[in-house]
Amino acid sequence: MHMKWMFLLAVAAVFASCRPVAIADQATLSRPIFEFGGNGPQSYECSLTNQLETGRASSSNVAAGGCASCR
Amino acid sequence: MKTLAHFLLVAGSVASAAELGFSGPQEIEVTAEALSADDIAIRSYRASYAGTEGPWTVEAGIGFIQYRETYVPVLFGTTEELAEETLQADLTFTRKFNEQWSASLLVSAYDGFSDYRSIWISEYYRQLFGAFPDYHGPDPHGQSIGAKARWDYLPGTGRAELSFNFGRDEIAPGWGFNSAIGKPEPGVESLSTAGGGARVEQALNGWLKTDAAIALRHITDRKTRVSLNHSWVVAAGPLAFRLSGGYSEEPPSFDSSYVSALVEWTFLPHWSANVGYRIYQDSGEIASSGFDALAPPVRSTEIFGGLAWDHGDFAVSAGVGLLATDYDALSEDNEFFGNLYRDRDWLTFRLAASHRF
Repeated sequence: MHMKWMFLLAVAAVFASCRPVAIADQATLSRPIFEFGGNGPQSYECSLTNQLETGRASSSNVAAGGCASCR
Repeated sequence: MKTLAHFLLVAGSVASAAELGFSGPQEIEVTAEALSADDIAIRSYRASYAGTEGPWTVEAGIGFIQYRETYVPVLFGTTEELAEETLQADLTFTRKFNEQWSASLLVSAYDGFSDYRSIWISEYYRQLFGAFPDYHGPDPHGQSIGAKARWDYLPGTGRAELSFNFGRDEIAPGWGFNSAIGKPEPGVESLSTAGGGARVEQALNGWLKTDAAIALRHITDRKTRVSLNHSWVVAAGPLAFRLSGGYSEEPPSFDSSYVSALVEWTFLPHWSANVGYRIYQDSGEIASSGFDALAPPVRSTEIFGGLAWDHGDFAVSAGVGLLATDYDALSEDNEFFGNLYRDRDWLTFRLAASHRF
């Protein structure tokens, strides 16, 4: 029950915090951590781990290759 | 050969672009990554160039992946040191129509194995059936084409993307002995893939941003896989925190999920450090029938950290991670791959740099 109220409180806090983004905010929002699909220096994780965690693809991953037995 | 031609086309395009010189912003980016365990080493190198001319942006990338594995059989066969290389190339054309709308066309190709498991499994079949005259070695390669539409409905604050992809892979097939004709036969040797996805990214204020994505992928002879991803980022002074999670499902029996958390600390004007942790699990690959090389269910965790220097036009980042995989026990059908699907401790590494001019 406490978890439910904490979740609702968190959702309410998020909506209460909504406000227009000012130009001054762009400095914060342009930090690499705000780039969800970042590449190169803006990425934090080694992309080769997708070979181990095959269900973690963040895109449609067409032409990912593979073996017939990996079906 | 066709894939190699694509590769040369992209390499030529990069050279031509650099020679012609775009009048708008340009960027060069290089990335080196490694994933290694005591008997498997994967190294990946990628370089890309992006140039803008008026409403057009052209991005070209080339990549090279090097695989080194010590193949160890379970019941019969010989231990072998395996070495393979894969070439990759991609080209993207983006047209910006106004402040809100842009569209991209993407083509990509690769020549070589797409992962370390395919190499291991191919060696198993080579040792099992290589003496038969009907056996032939694999020549994996593939191409894909895609399109993406982007709508910056609140420029700088909110955007939505819609994408479609189609791909064709010539794969390293599994082999089986057909007793009716008395010789080995390959399984499926080519796969077609169709995929698509939608993504929405929205800043709720100056320190809170969220991202939600859905992706669908359909491969020959399989059901459609649906993947959902959701992330939040919050910044408080020099600290920022990102929480991400995802879930994938594919009938009849595959599902996977992950949660990832990342903390970044900007300790000097251009310097930041980060540390993260990720948990992943899946239910194992979908069984077709009988003897196969399917991976059993796996759980993995990774703790990773890095350092970044960002000076606007020039940025460098480096990171390392410790990843552990924990597989369920193999069934009788695929115990031949016990050394492939054994628990391992992996080391991950990445180094990347970019320059805008």
